[in-house]
Amino acid sequence: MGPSPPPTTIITSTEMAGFLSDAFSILQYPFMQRALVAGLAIGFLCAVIGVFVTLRSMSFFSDAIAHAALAGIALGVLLGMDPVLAAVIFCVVVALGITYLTVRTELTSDTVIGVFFSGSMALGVLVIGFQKGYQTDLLSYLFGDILSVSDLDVVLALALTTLVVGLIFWRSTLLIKVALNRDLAQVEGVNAVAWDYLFMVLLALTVSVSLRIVGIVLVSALIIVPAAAARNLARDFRGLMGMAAAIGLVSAVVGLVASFYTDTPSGPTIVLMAIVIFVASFLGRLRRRM
Amino acid sequence: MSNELYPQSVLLVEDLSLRLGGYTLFEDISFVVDQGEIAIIIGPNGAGKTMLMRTILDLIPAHAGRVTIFGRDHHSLGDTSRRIGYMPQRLDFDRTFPITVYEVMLLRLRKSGFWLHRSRMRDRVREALARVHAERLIDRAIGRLSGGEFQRVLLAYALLDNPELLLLDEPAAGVDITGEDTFYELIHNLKHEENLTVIMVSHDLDVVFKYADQVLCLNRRLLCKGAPHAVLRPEILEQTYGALASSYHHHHEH
Repeated sequence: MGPSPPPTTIITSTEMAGFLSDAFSILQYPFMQRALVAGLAIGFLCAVIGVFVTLRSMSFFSDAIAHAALAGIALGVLLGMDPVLAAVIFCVVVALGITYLTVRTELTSDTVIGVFFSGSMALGVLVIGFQKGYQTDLLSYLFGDILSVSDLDVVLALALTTLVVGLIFWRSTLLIKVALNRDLAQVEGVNAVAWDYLFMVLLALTVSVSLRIVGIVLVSALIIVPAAAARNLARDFRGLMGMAAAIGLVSAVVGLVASFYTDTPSGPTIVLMAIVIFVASFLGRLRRRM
Repeated sequence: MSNELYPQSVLLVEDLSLRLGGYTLFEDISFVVDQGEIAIIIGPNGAGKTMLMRTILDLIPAHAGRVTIFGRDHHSLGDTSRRIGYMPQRLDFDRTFPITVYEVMLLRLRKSGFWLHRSRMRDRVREALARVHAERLIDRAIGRLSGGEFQRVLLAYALLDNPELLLLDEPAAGVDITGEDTFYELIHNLKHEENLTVIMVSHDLDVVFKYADQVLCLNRRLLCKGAPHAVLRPEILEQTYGALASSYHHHHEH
C-alpha cells in the first residue's frame, strides 16, 4: 500500500460564494457601514502618518497622546461635550505642551512625554471616578467598539483624514527632509521647529479620531505597525508609503469584519491583523537576506 | 573687523563663542575665508569642529560673536541660503531610511510634489550625480551604498542649485584610503571648475598640506590660521593635538 495523499483543504465554489455574500450582507447593517467607512479612513490615515512617526522614532509620543485622550474623553463626558471632540482638543493641547517643553527646556523628550503620559492618565482615571455608576461607554474607548461609531465620528474621521493626508502629501518634501537630516533641512531655510509643532498637532488629530475604532490602548500600534511592516519590504520612499497605506487599509477592513463575526473588540482584532502582516514581512525580509 | 575691510570675503567669523549647558565648546574664534579658497578646520576629537561648522550655519545659537556670509548676517540669510551647499557628517544619517538616491536628490529640487516624478527631474538628478561620477547610483537605496558612494551622493546633493560656498563636515570620514584621495581630488577639481569656496573639517594632515589654502587649528580656541606650510609648526600641532602630532609633522617637511 502506498502512502496516502496528504489531506487538503478544498474550498468549494458554494462555500466561496457563501463567504462573499456574507461579506456583503454585513454591509446591510448601518453601524457596520459607518464602522467600515471610518475604519478605512483611519487605517489609511494612521499608516500614512505612521511612516513619519517611525522614521522620527516617535512611537512613545503617539502612545502618550493616545493615553492623554482618556482624560479628554472623561472631561468631555463630565462636561456634556461630544467625547471625541473633547479628546481632539485635549490631545492637541498635550501635543503642543510636550513639543513646547522639549524645544524650550533642557528636559529630554522622553522625560517630558513620560510626565504628560502619566499625568493625563491619572487625570483621566480620577475624572472617570467622578461619574456615577459603571462606565461601559468609557470602557469602549479603551479597546474600540464598532457599535459605538456615530455619524459624527464618520464625518470627523473623513474630514481629518482628508486634511491630514492632504497636508502630508502636499508637503512631503519638507517632512521627509526634516526626518532624514534636520540640519540639512534647516540650512536650506526650512523652519524645522514649526514643522515639529504642525506634525505633533496632525498626530494628535490622528490619534483622537482613531479612538472609537481602535481604542486608546492600541491606537499607536495601528500607527506604528503598518509602517514598520512596510519598512521591511520597501526599497524606496514611494514604495514605503504605498505599502504602509495598503497594509493599514487591509488590516482595518479584515479586522473589522473579523471583529463582527467573532464578536471581539475591533481594536485588538485590527491590530492583530496588522501584526500578522508585520511578522510575514519580517520573515520575508529575513529570507531575502539569506 | 567689518565686511568693508574684507570685500573678497565669503565668510567672516568674529569673536564667535559657543556655550552649551554651562560648558564652553569654543571661544573667541575669528577668521576670514576669501572667495575661491579651500579652508580646512583641523583639531582633535571634541575640539568643537562640527559645532563650529553648525554655529556658522546658525544651526546652534552662538553665545557671542558674529558670522557674516556673503555680506549678510547668518541669522537673516533668506535667499542667500541657496548659495550655500552643506554636507553633514555621514554618520548623522539613518542608513536604514528606505529612500533612493534619486528621491534624496528630489528633496532639494522640489519644494512640493514629491510624488510627481517627471523625466525632466530625473535628467537634472542624473546630471548632478554625474558631477561626482555617481550617475549609476541613481536608483540605489541609500542603505546599499558604500561609505564612499554615500559621501559622493551627499556631495552631489550639496552641489545642486550651484552653490558658491560649500561647507563639508569630514567629507571623507570612513572612506578607504584610495577612495579618500579621489574624493579630495574631486572637491579640488570642482573648486577650480566652478570657482567654489570650500570650508571643510578634516582629521587628516596630508589632506591639509595638499589642498588647503588656509588651515584653522581648533582646540576650544583658534591656535593657528594661515597657509599650512607657514603656520603648522611643530609647537602649534603639539598645542592642537598633544605631543604625538609633532612627530607626524616632521614627515611632511621633506
